[in-house]
Amino acid sequence: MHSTEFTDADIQLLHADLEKSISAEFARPSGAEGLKLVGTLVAGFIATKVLLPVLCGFTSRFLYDRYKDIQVTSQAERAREDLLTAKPINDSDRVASEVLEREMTEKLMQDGLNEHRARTIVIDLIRKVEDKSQH
Amino acid sequence: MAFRFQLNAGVLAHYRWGSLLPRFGLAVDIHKRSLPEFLACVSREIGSWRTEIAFRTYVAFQHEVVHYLQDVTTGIGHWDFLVMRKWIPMILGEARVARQSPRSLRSYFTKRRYGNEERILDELVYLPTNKLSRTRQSALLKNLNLGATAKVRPRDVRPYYIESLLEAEAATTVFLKWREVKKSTGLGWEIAAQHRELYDPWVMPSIYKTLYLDFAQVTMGHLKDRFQKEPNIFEAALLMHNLLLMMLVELSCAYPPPKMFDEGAFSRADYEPGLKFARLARAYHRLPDQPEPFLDIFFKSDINRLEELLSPYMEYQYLPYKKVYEQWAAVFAQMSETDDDRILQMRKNAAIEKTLKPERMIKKTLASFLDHGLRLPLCTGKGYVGYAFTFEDLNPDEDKIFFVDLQRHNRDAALADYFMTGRNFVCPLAENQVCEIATSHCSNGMANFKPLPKDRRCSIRVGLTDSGLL
Repeated sequence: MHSTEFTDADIQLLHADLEKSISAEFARPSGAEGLKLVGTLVAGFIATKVLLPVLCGFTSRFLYDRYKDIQVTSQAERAREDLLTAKPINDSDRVASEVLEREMTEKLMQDGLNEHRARTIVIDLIRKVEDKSQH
Repeated sequence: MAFRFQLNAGVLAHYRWGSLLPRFGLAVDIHKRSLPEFLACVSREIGSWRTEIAFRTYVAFQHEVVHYLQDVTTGIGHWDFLVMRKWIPMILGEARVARQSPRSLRSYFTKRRYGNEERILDELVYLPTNKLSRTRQSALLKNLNLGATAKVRPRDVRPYYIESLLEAEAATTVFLKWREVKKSTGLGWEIAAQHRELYDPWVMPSIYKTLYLDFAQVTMGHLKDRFQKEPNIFEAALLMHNLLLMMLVELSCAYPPPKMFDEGAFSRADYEPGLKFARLARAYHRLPDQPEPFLDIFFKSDINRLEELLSPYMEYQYLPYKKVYEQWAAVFAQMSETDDDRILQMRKNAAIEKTLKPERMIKKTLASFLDHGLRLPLCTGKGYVGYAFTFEDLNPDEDKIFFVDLQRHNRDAALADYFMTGRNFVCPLAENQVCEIATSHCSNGMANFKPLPKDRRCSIRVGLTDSGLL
């Protein structure tokens, strides 16, 4: 695999991990039994809103700028399609990890996570994506 | 125990029956301005959300408010309040005696504890479906079959469990208000469309829609052949279905005070809310033709006239709605003579309002707070938020008194739950983020009281020590 190409399977795998981390955060304070009921739908989309921009950022600055502020599923769907068909680019056109970390942390905070937890989740995600792109 | 039972709106929020405190998670953003902002939008039929979290907040807020109003204004909420008011001191008293007794007597108290739990579960009206006893489930099945035109099978009972009833009303109320939204942005509509599982009973998870869909067979089933050709018919039928469901749930929750059962005139099995709903629905189905005043009844939310209209077609004569709440008002008025607990007063006011202006109490929406002047306390991911609406509430001391009474109720309930079930104790003051010395143990739960802060400012530790429980 080229360093900046991602497959549908990669996206699904990373999404599942990220969704799990976000769900755990939302269930954390009260531990209420019912919190899991519809939570996966909400946490799942929040995961999408962070994962796709990070993957776009690893692929090209153009894609990242286009999809860094996903709000609805139609945008997410377009981002996914563009990502899967994107042409490999040079490392110099990638978005810096620090920028991804800062902007996606803010994004998670807008959806309710506290800064420390949001940053931890984003750093973990970036590390996993980096690992994948180096193989 | 009732105080730990929860009505869910997924990950977003939950409501512990009896707590009078809707709780919101981190995935929604409630703040002091939320209610005024939502009221402004609702009154102008505007969908003002521009982000996902704003939409989730809008939906979750309305959903939980319905559960809060179900608790604080209906007969079942009043009944369960009295049950817990009777049992909590007994549980805490027994826990103290057990603590002070020799080890050899511990098993005796453990047995008593299980016995007490069974008796409480038997007395409460609201219970989550998985806590309903087999006896209660069988009685409901048997009674649903009496007078039924087709055999009711065990799997057909699910819509008529109390939890399904309350969730159906919450889902329908939010759906009805959402359908009134006329203006939003393209993005706003798209965000709403992708969150249908949070507010549209046709696609929500089973617990929210089971009664809604079952009842739609009664209200809309005979019209379905016309829906495709005449879309207006569908719109009108859907509106009527939603309104009727809310009114019948309201009638079903008019549970009388204990005195009425003590006198032997009524049986509790007949007042099972799901059974009453089914009987009302059958009576509606039996109406010869929709009589002239029917639309008038709907649009004026005239619940007393609806009850009068359906009553001759019912196989059981219930105590009239108005009479039920007159009785409740009298019960709470008498209790208030010797107790100035603000929760008691709020229940008394709600019961009086139902006798005087029932039409304002039917739809459990945000606007109804302006009409009936009840307080609205909330526990958000960022702390406690309280709203008050009456002239008396402008007095800042009233805020404090209400807050203290509310926290006391929730503290006692949490302690009783701990001693009864042996589940971890979660400090309600820490949960509401109103305790400055709370630790993570306090809010995450503790298996015993050792992790409570060793500080005189920890009112739980002080209270437990002073009362001999620690």
